[in-house]
This record gives sequence, C-alpha cells and structure tokens, in this order.
Amino acid sequence: MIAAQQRDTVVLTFGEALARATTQAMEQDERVVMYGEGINDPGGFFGSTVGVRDRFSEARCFDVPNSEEALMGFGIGAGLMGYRPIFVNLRVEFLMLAMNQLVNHAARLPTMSGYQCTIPMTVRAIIGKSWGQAAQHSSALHSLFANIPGLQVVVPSNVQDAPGLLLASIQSDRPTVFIELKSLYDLKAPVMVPVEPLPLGQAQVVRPGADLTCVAISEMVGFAERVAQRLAPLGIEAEVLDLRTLAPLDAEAILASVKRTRRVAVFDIGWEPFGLAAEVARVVSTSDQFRLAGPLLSVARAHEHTPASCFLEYRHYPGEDETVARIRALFSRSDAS
Amino acid sequence: MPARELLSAPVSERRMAPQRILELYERMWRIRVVEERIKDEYASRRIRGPVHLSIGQEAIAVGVLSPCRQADVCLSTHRNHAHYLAKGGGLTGMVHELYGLPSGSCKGYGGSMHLFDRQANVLLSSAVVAGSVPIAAGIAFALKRDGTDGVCISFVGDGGTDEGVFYETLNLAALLKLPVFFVVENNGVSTLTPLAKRQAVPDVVSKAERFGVQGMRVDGNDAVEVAAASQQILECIRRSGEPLLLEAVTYRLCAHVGPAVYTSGIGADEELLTHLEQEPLKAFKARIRSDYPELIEACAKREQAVSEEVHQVFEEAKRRFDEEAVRVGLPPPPPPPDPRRV
Repeated sequence: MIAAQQRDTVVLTFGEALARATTQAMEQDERVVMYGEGINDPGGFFGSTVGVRDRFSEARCFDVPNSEEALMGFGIGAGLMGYRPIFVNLRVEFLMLAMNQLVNHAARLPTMSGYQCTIPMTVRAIIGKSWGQAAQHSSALHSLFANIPGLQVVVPSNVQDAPGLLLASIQSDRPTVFIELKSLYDLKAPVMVPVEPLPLGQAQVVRPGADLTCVAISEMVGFAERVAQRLAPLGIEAEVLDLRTLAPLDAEAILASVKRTRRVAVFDIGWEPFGLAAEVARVVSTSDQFRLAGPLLSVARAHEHTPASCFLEYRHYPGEDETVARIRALFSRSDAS
Repeated sequence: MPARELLSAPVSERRMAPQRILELYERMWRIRVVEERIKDEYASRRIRGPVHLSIGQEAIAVGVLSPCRQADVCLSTHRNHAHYLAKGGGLTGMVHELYGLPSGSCKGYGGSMHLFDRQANVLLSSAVVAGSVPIAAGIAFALKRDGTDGVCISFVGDGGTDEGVFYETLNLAALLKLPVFFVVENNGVSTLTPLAKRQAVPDVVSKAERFGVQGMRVDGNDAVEVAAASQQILECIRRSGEPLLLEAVTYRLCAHVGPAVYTSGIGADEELLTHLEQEPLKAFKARIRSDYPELIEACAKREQAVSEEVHQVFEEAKRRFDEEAVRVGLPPPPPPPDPRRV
C-alpha cells in the first residue's frame, strides 16, 4: 500500500483510467497480456487500450480474429499456465459466443480439477447503451454471469474506482467479468496514481442517509445519487450504496445500511426478473436482524429487448422524475398507514 | 524451417528399437488392463458415474504421447483414460477419482471425464465436445512465450471436428504460430452418428491445410506408425514453433458410454468382428511375434507385472470406497439400468 501523500492526482477520462491501470499491471507483471478484436485501433476501445501496445510491444497487446469462443479458450489456456490475460470485447453480447468457454471451463475448471488450478483471467465487456444501439449492443447480462459459481463480476460506477477495480481483477486468481457501461466513458475525474487495487467484494457508501438505502451498480450509482439529491429537499435522506462488484456480493454492507434505514430501493442496469432487486430482496428478507418498514422498490429497465428508435429507447430506461415520484409515493403511503 | 517442409521429410525410424517396442506394448497393455477392469468392476456399483472407454483406441494415445516430454501439455476429452495414462498420469489418482474418493486425482470433483494431473501435465479433460481445443492454443502461447520448445497436444474426436471452435482454433494457431499438436482421433462415429452423416467434406487433413495447419493421416491402430508420425511432428513443431495436425483413423470397440464393450452398435456384426481381429493390441502382439520374437518373454513378464499393479490399485480403491461409504453413511446405489439401454 502506497501512502496517499506519495501518490499524485491526475485528471483522467474513464478510458484513460482503465488504460492507466492496465499499463501499471503490465509493468508490474510481465505475464499480463491483453488482446481483443480492434485493440490497437487508433480509438483503442474508447481510449482504454490506447498506448499499451506502444509501451509494451505487440507480443503483449495484440489484435485477434473474430473468434470469441476460441479466444476465451485461449485466455483460459494462458491462465492455466500462469499468465494473466485480459480479453477485451467491444460489446457484452459478443460474449454470448464465448459462454461455452466462460461457463464450462473458466468458471468450472478450478473445481473440476480438485482446486489444482486457477484461471487468472479478466474479461472486459462494454455495454453500448443509448444512441440507437438496439437489442444486440446494449443489453445488461451481469446477472447471467453472476449466477455462475466461480465467476467474479465487477461493475464499476465511476472514474476514481474503475482503475483500482480493474487492477484488482487482473491481479485476482479467479476469472473475472469486468462490465463497463459506455456512458461511463463520458466521465472525467481526478484519479490517484499509481493505482492501488481495490478489494473485490467491498461496497462503498457514496452518499450517507438515514431514511432509505439505494443499492446501485454501474451508471445507476450516479442515477441514484441524482435522485437522492432531489429527495433531500423533500425531507428524504437517501443513502447510496455502490456495490462495485456483484460477485462477490457485499451482503454485509447491504444489511448494515438497510438495518439502519429499514427501507431499500434497488437500482439495476438490467432487467428486473431474477436480477439485482431479486438478489437484494433475498439478502434483506432472509436476515432476521430487522423488518423492512415498507416494500422494496425496484428501479430497472423494461423487461423487453432494447428498441433502436430514440422515442422507444427513451421509454425503455427508468427516468429520474418517475423514480423520485415513486420513492415519494412510497414514503407518503407508509406515512398514511 | 516452416512446418510444411519439415513435415515432408521422410519418416526416419521405420524399424523401431526393441526397447521402444516393448515400452509401447507395455503402455498399451496397461491402459487395456485398467479399462477392462473398470468394465468388470462397474457392475458392483462402486464406480458411480459415466465412463467412456478407449478400448480399441489405445494405439493413438500411446503412439502420440510416448515421444512426448513431461513438460509438454496434454488436453483431452470425455474419453480421456488412455491419454491420461499414456501421458504419465497417476494410476492410483485416476482409479481413486473414478471411485469418488478424496484421494482421487481431482479430490472427487472431476470423475472419469475430467482427469487432471499437474505433475504429468494433463491439464484439462473436457466433456464438452471440442471444448479443450482452444485452450490448447493458450497453453501453446504460454509455452512459446516462456521461451520453451514445449508443445501442447490437443486430442479431439472426429465428433469434435463438427464444432466451429475447432476451425477457429486452427486459424488462431496458424495465425499466431502456436506450437499446438492437433490430434484427431477419427473413430468414424459421434455417439452413434457416422461421420458421413455429419460432414459434407469429411477430410480433416485437407480442411486443416486450408487453414494453414499442415497434417498427415495415419492408421491409428498401428502404434508404431502413430509413434513414428508423432515423433516427426513433435520435432517439427519444436523447431518451427508452428501447429501441425495428425489424423489417426481407428475404431471404437465399445459403446459411447458405459461398460458395454464390443457392442459398439455402429455397424454390421461382421464389421465388428473384423475390427476385433485388427484391434491395436492384438495387431501389435502379432507384430512382436513376427518381427521381434526375442521380446515375447519380456512381454509376458511385463503383462504380469502390470496386471498385478492394476489389481492392487483397484483392490485398495474398493477397500477405501467401502470404508468411506460406511463413514459417510452412503445409501446403496440405485439398481443398474437395463443393459439394452446403456
């Protein structure tokens, strides 16, 4: 651990912050290699891979064919031999072509071998929400991955955390799916360098509050913060909890917060059925430490495939106005009862 | 020198040294004895899981892997017993794994289909068809990048060559120049569906060549031919660092899964009888009688020693199984399935 005063602060975009973490991981460990289709294009995955090849050589940062299953298997093989591969995918949907390798081997091999091996592989995947990206470029599939034993699922929400979470993922001995929402790439913020790995499975309270716990992931953390700001003048102090990772899940942090607030709202980037709200409901309702003062509120996208049209797309995602109104209604209803 | 030119060089060793003949025979015999014993023990319901026997296909495993080094990595399929043993995987660990014991090679988490041995570098046996093939590319990448001349041997059945990922991996290995030794065990059948009903162009060697991976076809029931080809291919891969492919044609004498032996159900009875006459162990023994008569006595001694070793390992596993069953309070097994449905 480097003392805070020995670290510098630089203002970086989300993409630059990921590139910074990657560069640092590759400097520290020559067994870190990165590949992906289009990885060395000038744009470099929205800036997140820019400069890496020039710094380290094409042998450690290489372009590959459109063969997702083979490439996932390739990473598993390299991981079995002690390498720490990073496989970058421009869209999370492309991972559907590689699910066989991800589920049947990356997640299972450590168990099937009697825990004689690890698969220290990081799979980065971007969700291209909005701008008419439609059904096959904007879906949120984190729940699918988080359901599989053996996979870690990381869902960063901001520029400050993302590099530390990526570094921790690369350094972890477990296969990790690192999910990035495209909207996060518009953010720019001060980042401490050198990057320090953040512990995986540790949620963070990004806004304290006593009346309601907002459990959120990825870009919905920012959404929840904006909603919380608008609730404050209405006399509702909402706490926002950024889970940072879905697997491992920081159930303790959820319980600690909800035990105080006794109300919970869940802000998911994906669909509602079998999603984050269901998971938080499981954690909260199986605890015998407290009873909720009101129903769990779920904020999620509509359970349909993302439409392309801007008119339809606008309706597909939850809106802030509507969410503020729903939370107000929750409080006024219970006040009346 | 590119792999293509190396491969076109003549096979150097036609008449093998007697010592190597004896070694090949002993390894094949060992695999056969182990699998015959699995077949015999299966009825006692202590081995509680599917077994995919390699009986009739031992010459490929032994031929391919006997010229390998310990540091070379072998990946296999659901039908992995022969590969595992031929690569030097521990017999006790394997048998205990089949019996579900904590002392098994995968501590009971893998079973027959997922044998794994770090020491022997058997690093994955996948029960998903062609599942282990792309993983071989990553292992080969690591071996090469580590500066070794190690090779990753990737076994796949002809069934695996139906899968898209097999061709993706041929391309990747050729493109990135990875030291992968693709071994296609062509027994002509996927469960019960013949190759001709699955592929419009069944010639895997010519298809691989179009992807940039040179290959050759051998009689997979002739251990000497397979071993000579393997040695040549391994040398080529070590020198060039590029992938090559071997197609070894064989015949599966067993059912796809289960202990049923010599009931392949894939051809006319006469066809099966012919293959039983030509099966690799019998053929090898005949070759020893005609070409290496001086080895007959040594063979018999080795047979006896191996059979005794295998017997001891199984007896110990059975004893431990019964102890473990009492300790855990394991309920008795369900009745055996109707053999006609195996």
